Amino acid sequence: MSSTADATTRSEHRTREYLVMLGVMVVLMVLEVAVALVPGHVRWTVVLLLVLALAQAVYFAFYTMHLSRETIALRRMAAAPGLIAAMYGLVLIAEAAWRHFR
Amino acid sequence: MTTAHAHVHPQITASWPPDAQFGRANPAKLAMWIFLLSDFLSFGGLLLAYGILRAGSAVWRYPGEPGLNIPFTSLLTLVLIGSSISVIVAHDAALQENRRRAVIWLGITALGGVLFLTGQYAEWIGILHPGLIKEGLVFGRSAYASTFYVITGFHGLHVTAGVIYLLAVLARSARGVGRAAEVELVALFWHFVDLVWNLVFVLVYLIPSGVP
Repeated sequence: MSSTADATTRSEHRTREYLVMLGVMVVLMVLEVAVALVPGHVRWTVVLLLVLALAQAVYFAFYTMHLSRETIALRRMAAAPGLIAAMYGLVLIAEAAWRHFR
Repeated sequence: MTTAHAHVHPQITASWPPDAQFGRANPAKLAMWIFLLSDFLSFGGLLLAYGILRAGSAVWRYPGEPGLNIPFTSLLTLVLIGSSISVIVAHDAALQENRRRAVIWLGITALGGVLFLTGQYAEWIGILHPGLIKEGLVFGRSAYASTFYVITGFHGLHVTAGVIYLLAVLARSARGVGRAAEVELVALFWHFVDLVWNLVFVLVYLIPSGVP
């Protein structure tokens, strides 16, 4: 009897967890669309969109892909490609800025 | 007996001993992570190239080229987000050895993928209305058109592969030979496809609407 009750509680907990995940991802997506469609300063719109996209990607990796339950070594391994891409991006932006202002 | 077991991968079926570096992640899961990370670099390269072309263009969308349908693509994004949750439910059911529930939720996830691909077909080619190609967004005519088709096409190929992979795991689960670890691997791949779509959606669909 108690094991059945435990299973029901666990199931309810999991359902709540799924609904929270769905809610967070939908809210982030709606925010992204709202930021894109509402007229505003172009530069800040782009920055806000990039921040929201990054937040959603991190949320996806940590919670839906369960990276939060993995070891620190696996988390570092997963972060590496993103950091490499960001580094390339910074180098390219710096190079473009140098060409623009020299 | 040895030959009968030679084709089985005991490292997947057995409870993998905890490792100092990678905890309880088995080799199959680590291999999937390594594959996903290398695949992320492929997408990273495409998105960086897109950013460089976009930032360096005086004119991004030429007169006559259609804009992208944000409300429709938002719906497709919602479908993918929903399928990400359904694959988690499938994995959860597989862990509880509830085969029927796992099969149903894997099927719902695959259906989400098929819906997304149908939406992408409607966007490119057109179903009820003319698609982007007929409206004048022609591959090779501008950087805007080419990057759009290359990036969304590359992602579409991943969704197609994901649907096939989901159906293969579903078939194995339905026959009673599938394992929870297999559902976990396909779930990882499917989440990755969703994660990348979010980046594509923001960079390709949303930013052009705000930048001239």
